[in-house]
Amino acid sequence: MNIKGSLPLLILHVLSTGPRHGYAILKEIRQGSEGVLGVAEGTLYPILHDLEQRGLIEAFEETVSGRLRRCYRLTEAGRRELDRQAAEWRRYSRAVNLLLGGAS
Amino acid sequence: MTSDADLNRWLDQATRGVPRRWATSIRAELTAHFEDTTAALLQQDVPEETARQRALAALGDPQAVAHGFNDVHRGRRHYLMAALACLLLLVENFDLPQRFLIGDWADGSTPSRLFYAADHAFTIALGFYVVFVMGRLLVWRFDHSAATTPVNIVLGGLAAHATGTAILDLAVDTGLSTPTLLNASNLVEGMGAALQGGGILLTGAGLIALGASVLLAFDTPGKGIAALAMIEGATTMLYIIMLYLGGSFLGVYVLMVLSSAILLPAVGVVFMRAWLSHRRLPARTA
Repeated sequence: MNIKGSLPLLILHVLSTGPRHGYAILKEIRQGSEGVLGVAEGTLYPILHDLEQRGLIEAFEETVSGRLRRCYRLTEAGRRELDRQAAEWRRYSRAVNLLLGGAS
Repeated sequence: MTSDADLNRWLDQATRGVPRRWATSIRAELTAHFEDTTAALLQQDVPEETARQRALAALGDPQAVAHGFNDVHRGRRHYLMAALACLLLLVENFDLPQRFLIGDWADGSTPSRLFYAADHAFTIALGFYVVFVMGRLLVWRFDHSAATTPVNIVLGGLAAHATGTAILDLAVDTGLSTPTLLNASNLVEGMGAALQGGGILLTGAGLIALGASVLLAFDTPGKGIAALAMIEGATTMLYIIMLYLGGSFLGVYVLMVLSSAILLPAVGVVFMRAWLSHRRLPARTA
């Protein structure tokens, strides 16, 4: 399933559990959704850079498995944005479920 | 066979247009991702060649990635600069530099000609830039490909206008016995006037087409500005036609200046909003 529109929310959520580099973020999204949610992997990075410019996440360099990697962590503003987007998403999915006649 | 050259070609495409200071670290970041994916596939006993092919394919369309990076690292700056360009154009609209910088700016002397020519060239360059960013805002951010042709018409008109104006500024003898810079003949003057007039007409036509395409395509945003652009284009064209038919036409000229005076701040505000709101928009990755 293509998750392009909701990718920023998922990235913020994954980073709320700890700092990670891009590959690890995608792996977490894929595993956490049991392989349902996927995206063209290269497109993750412009979104990461955008979130960084907006001050929602911050980047730092770290050596992982002998390689210098660009890692990201959530900022305080990012945490607030995550809460806001998550609440919006719950309201939206509840509305869709109501329409489809499923559980909210 | 997926070689380093294939990866480099993909990276070249994914970083096309991205400022150099970002391109290097982006390449390193994407290369690391590619290597991680390859390593993970190798651990699943996938043959190396297949693993590299699959890792490269998983990165997706490099042009979409380049779009996203350009949006993030290059897009915003243009909007702020275009907003400033609108402000400068507004200042130029009322000839403020000529009024305050040098008193006798129209005395026909060589320095005043050069000043006038430079001022005209600067004004037209600002207009060129504003239209370029306006086109970018419409065509690129809003995926509105129908605006491409009108934007190109306006840019073409401005280029012709700039050329004609430069010829007239530097070549026309003002009758004050001042040697002209290009030692102009009537032919040169005529060519300058034709280019200038033709350029203004083309610019006006482009503004009308641009305004019309925006009015037809958008529900709410930019409709007021589109209407103003059409008025600006129409009055500009009307003024030039009146001028060639029988001298100046003050009423149309005043309307033209007034419409510019409203249009420029309006477009400037849109650019400022685009610059500010970029912080709230996700990067374009489609």
